[in-house]
Amino acid sequence: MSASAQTAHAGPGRVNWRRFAVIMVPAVVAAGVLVALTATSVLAVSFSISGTPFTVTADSLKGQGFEQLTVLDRSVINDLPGNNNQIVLEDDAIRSATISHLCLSVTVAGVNMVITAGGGSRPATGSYLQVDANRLSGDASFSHINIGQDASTVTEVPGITGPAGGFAMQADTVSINKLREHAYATTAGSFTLPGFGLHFGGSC
Amino acid sequence: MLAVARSLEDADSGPAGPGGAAGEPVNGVRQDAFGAFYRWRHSRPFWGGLLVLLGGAEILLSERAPLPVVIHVGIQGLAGYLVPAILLLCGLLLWFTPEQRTFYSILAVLLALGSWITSNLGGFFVGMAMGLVGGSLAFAWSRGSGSPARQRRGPRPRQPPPRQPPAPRRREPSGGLDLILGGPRKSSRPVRAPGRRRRPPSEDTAPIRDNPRGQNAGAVRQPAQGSAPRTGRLPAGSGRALLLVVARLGA
Repeated sequence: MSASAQTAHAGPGRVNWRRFAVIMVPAVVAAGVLVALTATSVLAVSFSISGTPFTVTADSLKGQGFEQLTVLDRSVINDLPGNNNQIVLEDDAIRSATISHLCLSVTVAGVNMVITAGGGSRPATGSYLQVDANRLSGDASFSHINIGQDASTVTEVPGITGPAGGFAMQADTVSINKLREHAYATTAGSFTLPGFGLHFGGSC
Repeated sequence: MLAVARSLEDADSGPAGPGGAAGEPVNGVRQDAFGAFYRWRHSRPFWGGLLVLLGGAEILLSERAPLPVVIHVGIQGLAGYLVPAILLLCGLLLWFTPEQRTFYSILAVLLALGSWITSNLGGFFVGMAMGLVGGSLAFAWSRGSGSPARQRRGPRPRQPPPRQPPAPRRREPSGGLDLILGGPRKSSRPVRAPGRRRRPPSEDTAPIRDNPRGQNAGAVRQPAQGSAPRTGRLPAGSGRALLLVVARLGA
């Protein structure tokens, strides 16, 4: 009888909640420190999003080294506008940018998530920003702009070029006010987000 | 050595009686594929590993940067993929090598924290939270003990008064256990075995509480996994002792 009682409880492991707390509490504290360091722009974070459309808005964006290419993005599923699996996007790349009142909203698992940063006196900064957008609006001004350059020969953002024969433009500096873009993919090598805030629900 | 061999024999003869009839539910566990999954799931930190696995996958899915850009950005861009990939691997290894769970769970927690910097704020917080909870769950997981009384003892280590009454209850099932499995082992560790019976309620509970569990876990596991217990029991016990020291320092 006692032998059968033992086998009943021999296999199942169990969780010791005290040990759970021993590692969970420091981990949560460390996560809080990470968020706080990000919010004070001590830590730079890295972004690369793809697959889900998202919206980026900013009061102003000032960039050094700007490229714009036209790319054809393909999706595995036919959920892009017009039940298509291909979409023509403009690929904007900026070598280093300063962004004030940045707001990024993205839908994660059906929930809208909004990230805001750079609201105060300190703007957000990013390097190697690359955005594949299908709608981009704002008041833009460029310096030393070269429109209609072959996409394979652009040099302002190292490492980002288009196919030979493609249309491209590049500029030494870019300044965009009231930026609003609807994008499908973005990559940021490093991003400092002073005044970082994250909340669920709402939009930019 | 002799003690281990003897306890192996005893353990083999012990559960063979009730488990002999194939197909019949033994102690509420079905003996078919479902039962096999049940036993697989309960013999490893399943939920912790699953959460770590899903967290790593979520972070990986949230970021799919084109490879040339990743390579050009350099180590930081590469880390964006590397961190969630290793996190995912940690989840798998927690399942398939549960003996190493202490290392993999701590690594998973650290990687989840690191993913905040490297990978989309930890997959927009979701994957990072899953990695933290899953890693902690796997860290806190331990092999089941030999008797229900011992299992009941786990969740309430901080309440000394209610632990006095269970003492007689505990003696009843563990008496049979000691007869079958614990006897030879007790003779090999004469110092700790008597302390288990009449120990003060509050002081020095932790190491004493844990040692018998380690013994029984090893002993009861033997019928299921041939020679595994001898290799698995020692690191698990020593890791637990280390953690208890850490826990005490923290408390």
